[in-house]
Amino acid sequence: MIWHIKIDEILSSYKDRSDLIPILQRLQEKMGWLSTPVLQRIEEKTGLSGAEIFGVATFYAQFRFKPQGKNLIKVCHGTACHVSGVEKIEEALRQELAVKGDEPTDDGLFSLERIACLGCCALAPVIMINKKCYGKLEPNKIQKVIKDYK
Amino acid sequence: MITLNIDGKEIEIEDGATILEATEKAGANVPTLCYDKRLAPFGACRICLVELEGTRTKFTPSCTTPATNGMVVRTTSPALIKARRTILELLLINHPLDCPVCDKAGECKLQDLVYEYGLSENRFKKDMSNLPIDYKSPLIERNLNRCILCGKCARICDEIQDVAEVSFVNRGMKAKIGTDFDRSLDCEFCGQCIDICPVGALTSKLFKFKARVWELTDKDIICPYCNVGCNLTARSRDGRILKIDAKESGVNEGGVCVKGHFGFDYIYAEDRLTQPLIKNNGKLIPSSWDEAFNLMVSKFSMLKGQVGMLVSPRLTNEEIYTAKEFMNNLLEGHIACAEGLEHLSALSETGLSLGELKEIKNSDCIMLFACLSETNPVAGIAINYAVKRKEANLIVISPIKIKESKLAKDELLIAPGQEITIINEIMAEIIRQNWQDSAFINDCTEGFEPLKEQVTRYTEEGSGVSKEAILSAARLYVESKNPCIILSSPTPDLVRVAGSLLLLKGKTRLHLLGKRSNEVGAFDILGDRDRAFISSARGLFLIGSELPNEALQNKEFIVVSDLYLTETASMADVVLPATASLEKKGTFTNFEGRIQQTDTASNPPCGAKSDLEIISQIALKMGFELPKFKEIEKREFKKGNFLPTQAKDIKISSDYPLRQSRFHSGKISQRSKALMEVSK
Ligand code: SF4
Ligand code: SF4
Ligand code: SF4
Ligand code: FES
Repeated sequence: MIWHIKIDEILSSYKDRSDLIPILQRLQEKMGWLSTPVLQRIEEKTGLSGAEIFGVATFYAQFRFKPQGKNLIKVCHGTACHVSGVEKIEEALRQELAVKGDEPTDDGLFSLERIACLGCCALAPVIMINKKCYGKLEPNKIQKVIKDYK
Repeated sequence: MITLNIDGKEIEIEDGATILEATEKAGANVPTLCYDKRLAPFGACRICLVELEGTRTKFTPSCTTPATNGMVVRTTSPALIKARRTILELLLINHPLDCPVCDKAGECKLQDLVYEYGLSENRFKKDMSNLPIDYKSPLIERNLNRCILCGKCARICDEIQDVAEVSFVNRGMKAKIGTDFDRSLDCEFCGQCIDICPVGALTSKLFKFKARVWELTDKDIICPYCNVGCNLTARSRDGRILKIDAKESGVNEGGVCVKGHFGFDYIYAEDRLTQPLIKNNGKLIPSSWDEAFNLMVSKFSMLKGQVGMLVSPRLTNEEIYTAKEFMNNLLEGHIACAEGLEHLSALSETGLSLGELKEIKNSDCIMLFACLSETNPVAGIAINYAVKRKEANLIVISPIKIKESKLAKDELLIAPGQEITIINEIMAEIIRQNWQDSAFINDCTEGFEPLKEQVTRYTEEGSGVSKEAILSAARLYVESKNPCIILSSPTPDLVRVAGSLLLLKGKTRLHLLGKRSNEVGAFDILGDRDRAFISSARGLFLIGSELPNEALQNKEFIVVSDLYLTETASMADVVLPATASLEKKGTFTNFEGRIQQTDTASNPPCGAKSDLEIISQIALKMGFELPKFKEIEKREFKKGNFLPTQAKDIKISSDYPLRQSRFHSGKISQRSKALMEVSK
């Protein structure tokens, strides 16, 4: 299978347990998320058990175990964003895109993730879509921001 | 040795021991939850805190802290009690107190500690944990709401069983024990995680809501399956076994496999025989024991000298011995074990003695020719221990990848059936390099020259393994101090060559595992006798044994004693309902030659008799009292014999491992519903 070749390339750098996290990071970058078949392949190639790999991966917030939309929207919930009303922004986003929880939208274009702090508090409330930041948001600006990605 | 003071008592203990071990020696009772002596120290629960005098931190977990010279330790004090109470309160924050419906209640460590420390209220309040209960996995139910995150299940599964089916997942408040993506268990189902779980988070489905533990009667038994001879505790109520736990003492040291743990229900199969049957007009008709005995006495007296007997290698020593005396003294006929014991007589020819399990644990180089996780799983545990804890080198020689392959330093994938060739090739390499132990060979063995002559002729790669790989394995083997070779139910020729390989290194024991609980006992009593008498005998007495239908033709009188109406039994003139090993007292000899006592753990079906009773009662009817079984001395190594052996035409038998399965199954395991549920 074609994706096997892709991930086998990444897995070939595995030597011992300490290589697991960088490998998971690279796999996620390539595949978008860590699925059962991906985990199984890691299992086959490293000799670690599925539960061990899953145990390591779930310890870190950065790993995702569900498919992700084409565009990832990170909503900052740091203190500054919180006090400047990011809850309302998130609500508006969810309404606009009809996303529930961490599932991607039906058209597969977006998924939404809550983040502890994006580190640009001066722009609060802030969201990040893929690698681009949008600051000083208001609920009624959301539609416009999203339009670029549709 | 170091000396430390525990609760005012001076204790001497070896260097490297933990404080907990010292407190045990001092007889102090320090509570533990996450500690188990078989596992590496973990230090998760903190309940084992002790006070160290003269230190600033004062409290330290005793299970992870090494004891040092001059330490002054207190195992109990008001402050310690307060600390332990707080730990318990924290554990109880989200632990459901559903003891009335928890199968662990009565032997739950948490329940006992909460009782001991007298906690009736909790200062901390939070919602009870509310994780879905795993009802779907076979044999094991997982209610992680009861879990206290001691990690013992995950650790035993990894460190001891080498499966790592479960692990800690998530972190912080969401941390739990889980599988990848919360799937059901699909593991070896050894159930050791159930035994080790201090609370009721992991329980046996077979035992679910069957009884409260204090209603159970415990009996010490020997596992009825393979001949590792695990020491187990059968726990029954009203004469019916409800669960089996591993015993911490004995060969297995707490180890157990799916067969020993869950496979006991074969004795409750619906098709158990419950009364004697006599053939009348071609049909088997229920009869009384007296009728059956009388018929046997009259027929046997008529056929004296012409009756042959086969006994199963699952009978107790007492039964096999009695059967032999019965045949020698009364029927004057031949007796043999129903299944070939040629591998054991081959071992006698080599002069080697039987290896022990603890030698595997202490070995630094293990050469393995069988997938033990399938045939003798608890012996496999010893390999894991040697490799993972003691850094032993494992050499796996097999036609397929097996579970143990991933622990192997060297893995030699041979062409099917080439075990003998590869050993010859390894020996050739050793002799070529002059690596053999010549002093030992001169003093204690015979036949080295012919062996040398035969094996050094090996040049091409008949085993399908490259020269370099063979050389590397040979080097690992000769450079080790305590190598061992492990075979399971091998051919006699394989025993002969493996024996020679051991002798080259000056080693005198072979680890020879078998599938049936009392093979070694049967061999010690009967030897490996020729079964040719079967075809000429006019009468047959088959105890727990089966024969192909052709062998049963034209016999004048056939008696079969068995648990079930097997195909052979249905051809018999008299069928006797026998009892199973879980239903009788007696001894079994395990693969090490250790004679072990087993006890009656379950009431036999009413109407069944043990084979010991059957034979002694017929003997009495014939006017003879049979002598009692005397223990047989263990064979010790005296002189070794090199037995040059060449691979003959290779016949691949039906149970030759070309595919790996969860466990090896036979007549009895196929009647266990529990085992069939997880057989692959
Ligand atoms: S039953 Fe055995 S193999 Fe399965 S999870 Fe428990 S310890 Fe691991
Ligand atoms: S399931 Fe049992 S053994 Fe495993 S971590 Fe929880 S309490 Fe410990
Ligand atoms: S290893 Fe053998 S003796 Fe031990 S529990 Fe399993 S089948 Fe029984
Ligand atoms: S028993 Fe020592 S920390 Fe758990």
